[in-house]
Amino acid sequence: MNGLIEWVIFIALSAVVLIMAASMILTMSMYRAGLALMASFVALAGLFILLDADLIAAIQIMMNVGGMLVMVLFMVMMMMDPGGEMMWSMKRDMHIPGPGAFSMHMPRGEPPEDEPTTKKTAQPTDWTCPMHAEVNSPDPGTCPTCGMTLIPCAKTDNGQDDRDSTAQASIYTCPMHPEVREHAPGTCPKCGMTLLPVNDTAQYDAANEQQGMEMEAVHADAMAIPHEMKQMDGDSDHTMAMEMHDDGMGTMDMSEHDMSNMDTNMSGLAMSTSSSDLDMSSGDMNMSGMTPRQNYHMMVDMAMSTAQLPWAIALGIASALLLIVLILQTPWPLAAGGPTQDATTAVGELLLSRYMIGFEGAAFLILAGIAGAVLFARRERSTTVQQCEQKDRQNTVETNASEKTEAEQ
Amino acid sequence: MTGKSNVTTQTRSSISARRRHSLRQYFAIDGGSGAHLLAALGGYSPYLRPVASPRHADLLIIVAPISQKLVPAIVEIAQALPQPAHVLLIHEPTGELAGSSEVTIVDSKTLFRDVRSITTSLAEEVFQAISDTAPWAELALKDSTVQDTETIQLPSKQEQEMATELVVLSLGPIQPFTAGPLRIFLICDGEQVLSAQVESGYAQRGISRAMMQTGWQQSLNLARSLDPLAPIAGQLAYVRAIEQIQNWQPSPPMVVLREAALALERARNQLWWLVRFMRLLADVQLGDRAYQLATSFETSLTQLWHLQPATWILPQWQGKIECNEPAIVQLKQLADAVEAFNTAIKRNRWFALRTRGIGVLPTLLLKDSDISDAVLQENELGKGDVLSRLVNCTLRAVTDLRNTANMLSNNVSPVAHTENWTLPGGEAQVTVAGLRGQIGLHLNSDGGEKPAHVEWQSLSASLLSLLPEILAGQKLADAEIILASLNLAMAEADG
Amino acid sequence: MNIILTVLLVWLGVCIGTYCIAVIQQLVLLGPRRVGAAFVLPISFALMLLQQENLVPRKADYFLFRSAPFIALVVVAMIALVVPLAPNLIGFNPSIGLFYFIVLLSPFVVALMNAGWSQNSKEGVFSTLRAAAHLISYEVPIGFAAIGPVMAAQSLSTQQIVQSQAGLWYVVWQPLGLVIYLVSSLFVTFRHPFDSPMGGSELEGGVFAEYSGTRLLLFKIVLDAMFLLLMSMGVLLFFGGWQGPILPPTLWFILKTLALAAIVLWIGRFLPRLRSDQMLTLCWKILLPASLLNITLVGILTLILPGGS
Repeated sequence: MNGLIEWVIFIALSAVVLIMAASMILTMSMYRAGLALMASFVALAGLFILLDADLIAAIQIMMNVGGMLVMVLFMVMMMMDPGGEMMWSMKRDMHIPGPGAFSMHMPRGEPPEDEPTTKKTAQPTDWTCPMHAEVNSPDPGTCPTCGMTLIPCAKTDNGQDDRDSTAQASIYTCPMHPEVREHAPGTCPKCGMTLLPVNDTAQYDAANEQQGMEMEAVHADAMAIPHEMKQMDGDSDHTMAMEMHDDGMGTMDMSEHDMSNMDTNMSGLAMSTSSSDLDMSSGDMNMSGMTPRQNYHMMVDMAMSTAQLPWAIALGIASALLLIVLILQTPWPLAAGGPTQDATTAVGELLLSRYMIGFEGAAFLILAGIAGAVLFARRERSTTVQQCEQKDRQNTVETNASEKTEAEQ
Repeated sequence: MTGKSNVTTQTRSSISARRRHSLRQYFAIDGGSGAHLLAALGGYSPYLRPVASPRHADLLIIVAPISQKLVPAIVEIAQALPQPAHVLLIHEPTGELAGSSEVTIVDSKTLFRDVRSITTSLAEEVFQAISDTAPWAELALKDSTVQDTETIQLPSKQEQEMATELVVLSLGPIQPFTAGPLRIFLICDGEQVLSAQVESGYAQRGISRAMMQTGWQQSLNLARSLDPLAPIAGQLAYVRAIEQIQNWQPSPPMVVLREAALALERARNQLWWLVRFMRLLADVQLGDRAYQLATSFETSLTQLWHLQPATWILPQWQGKIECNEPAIVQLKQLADAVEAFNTAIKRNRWFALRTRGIGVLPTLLLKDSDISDAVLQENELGKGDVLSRLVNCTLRAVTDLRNTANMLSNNVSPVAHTENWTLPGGEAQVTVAGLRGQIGLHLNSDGGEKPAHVEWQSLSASLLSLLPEILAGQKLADAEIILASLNLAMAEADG
Repeated sequence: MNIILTVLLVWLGVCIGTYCIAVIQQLVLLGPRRVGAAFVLPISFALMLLQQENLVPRKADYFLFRSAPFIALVVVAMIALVVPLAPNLIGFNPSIGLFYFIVLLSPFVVALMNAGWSQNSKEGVFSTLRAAAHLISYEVPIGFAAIGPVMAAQSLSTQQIVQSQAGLWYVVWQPLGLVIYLVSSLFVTFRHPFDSPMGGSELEGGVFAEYSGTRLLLFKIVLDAMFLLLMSMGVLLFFGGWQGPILPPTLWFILKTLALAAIVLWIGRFLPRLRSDQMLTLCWKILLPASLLNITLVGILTLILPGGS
């Protein structure tokens, strides 16, 4: 192949590898992360093809696509927020600075000192868990049931507050469902989350939207009818939109039928994501009734990276540089010519001669595993049917017994 | 689209005129009375295909009546259709039902700017109306917004604690499993249904109330539309109740004729239900056979009576009713064909794979809920699963057809008598053997112009309340099969 | 350039083949009395979809929703390149042709999974997971079924496999492999009776629920094209590829492919749609042991029959 074309393809493929790997780390959507990893490895396979190593490329694709797929499958099944929706919307609602849908970062620096609360914000005397309303604690901390950071919940009978906040605090609303308005604290009838006083949930109230956690209640009324598209005004987010082009919002194709609501909100988002200030103690955060210190702790709780990330990055770069230097310095022996037989035959012969024991052993183990799993797989019976059959059996026994006694009489 | 001039519309229709064999995919909304028509339409022409997702459709077929509760669903589905799309409204030939004062039937003109509407119960006419190349405005909703009503009771807190593991899947209200709209929320753990919540009432027309507001003769029409798919059963129940109050017994030949008409209607329902069930399972071969049986039955039925049963099932009416001899012979042949079909179902192992062993109705539960004998019997015959239910239902169709053929060929004319609509005071309780079991009617008369008290008991309503227990623990794909096998008629259940 | 021309020609061939498959499918569904409709319907379907608008659901995954049909398209195009129509008529002939083909079946399902996931609907997610379960289940049986001819021909190259069937077609002494291959190919393309991820009745279209217009058309074409390619691979592996007495090799190949497709589609007529756990049972408890048995048998026969090494 022409040298220049080879270089172009090589650079393109390498760029894809690196970009996909980076986006895998930075995205909040697990599904996309799995796909990005897959794409990175497929591009790597492309590099192998450039080196004429067809077999390794094909094996690479097969292993990684299959493997990553299983990983994505398990992520979707087990994890709470596989699409990244909840995290992304929380981040946006609480106006956490940082580019778009990238992972929420650890707050830098020390936790800020406690400041005296202003008259505007109600002094929280009660802390509760967003998911578990029965948890009531006088101090901030973590929920004993699920481990989430507690949020403040002001009481209505807290008479020494501001007149405004009392009046406002008498209306409680759900962070996920702003149209729910109750006059007493409790749980949201739609999703069960703890109701918060109105002024506390102002930051969640971004344009009347309903979204967030992968909870059945949200989707129950959002997906009321197959393929119904609920009239949610103000839905403006694409978790993915921000990932690649946090400046390119204007370039998105908005000509589709359903996107009429998007336009107004896209511009709003553009403004909120342009800030890159990571400092948590700056004043432009909506404190939501929490002190900066409590906010800091909440951010620590929800951040998707650890405090050690800078160290890890430094270590990774250092190792990569070391490896590159090593590779360049090693005198690799150049082969006389290309391989004389195709890779498949060579691999096959090696497997059956030099690596026979390992090959056969691995095959046997896999076979035993599959056979065992298949043989020992049990059939599920639904509990209702089991209970009913049990009842019927008891019933039959009783009827037989009673018939017997009647016959005898 | 909506605000543009007529030029666009005409251009589109002229294009469709040129394309003689254009494919149309439709999404059907059944207001409660269209199950047979839609089943017939589905197999009528390969150029008219039903689809499961409104996104794939370019035609929206709505079968009246549209109740107020169904309107949000219709609006959402209409919005989901991609342009260009059209709307076709189908009315029942028996006339528009006004409903009672508390339940409103919505006129389609309040929803859509322009619809094409026809009044028919034949698939051919529907197809002709669709292929008609007259200018047909595209689907356009009126601008009035529709409020979404949140009516579901959410699952209990314990289930919510596992919030990340449960999914609430909303099926309906437009779905192929029932005849008529029904909304079911299945709370699923993956593919397994943990619990179900039923929301019915989409096909409610307030028949009982309406009957108490109109005169005796006018209420006959209302009685017929209790279950639009089984009008004769309703009419017969009403007429027999009136005759009971009047203390008048019809002569045996008349009883035989009435039973024959009822049995034929049961068989008709049975056969179309078979067609829908096979389509649900996507079994092409069995579906085609069922479709053949159903359509040939329809043709025999139209040729059978010289006078339609609706005209002679009247209180105290007796007279000579002639039947077409060849049609009776066709009925006998049809009975044999259905029996052969039944054997095919019983022997088909692949079919059994999907239907055997699932959906066993718990007997105790049925007894506790006073479900009538027919369903209980069915449950105890065989194993009570979907397959045996199917087989038993098909057998009943065979029996109905054979008995009817025998009854009609040995026909003796009853002594003539005219109808009589004057009723003394009194009370009557009548049961009629409908498709799923007994349909009961409790009628009270105070000697006046209108019924004093009307109460219908139907099986669909009782089965509906049992659905959560029946569906719990089933797999998702099986839940639909079980629902379909219960053959619920929502118009009957909602009343 | 040469490569672009090759790709275009291959893609043209695939399109024509897809039309033929669609016609056959309609013939099987409609019966022998509606032959005219069977030929016209695929074209009217395509025209109808071309006129429909391309809806994108709210909050759909921006990139995945739009790119899913194209990923599938690219995969199908790449697979089509290694199918030999005649002794020297092949897109490109790597020495690992068959392995390359099997490997590329996985990204195809990934594209479908993306489609289901990106729709932002629960039915889509259900279908995605069902499709993933499919993929994991059938990969091993189809691989093992295809290994039989590879063992017999001692090469992964598609041309080599065809040429080594000059004496005896592999279907004669590897019928079990053929059956396993055909069943697995129904899985790959989500054909009836294994089209539970397509939703059928309960999931209202499954992975394709929210697609409309040209994207849906692209998906439908790609699914049929995949089926065509799998059938053509089956012909290569078991029925001697383009070999045949009088007619030109290309014609033989096309006829055999279409005949095999017709047989497979016709058999599907008699089965109801299987539930996904029944499909998984079929794969793991029946197909997998059968494919292992097949390998054993083929291995033994390869050693015994004259001409084996």
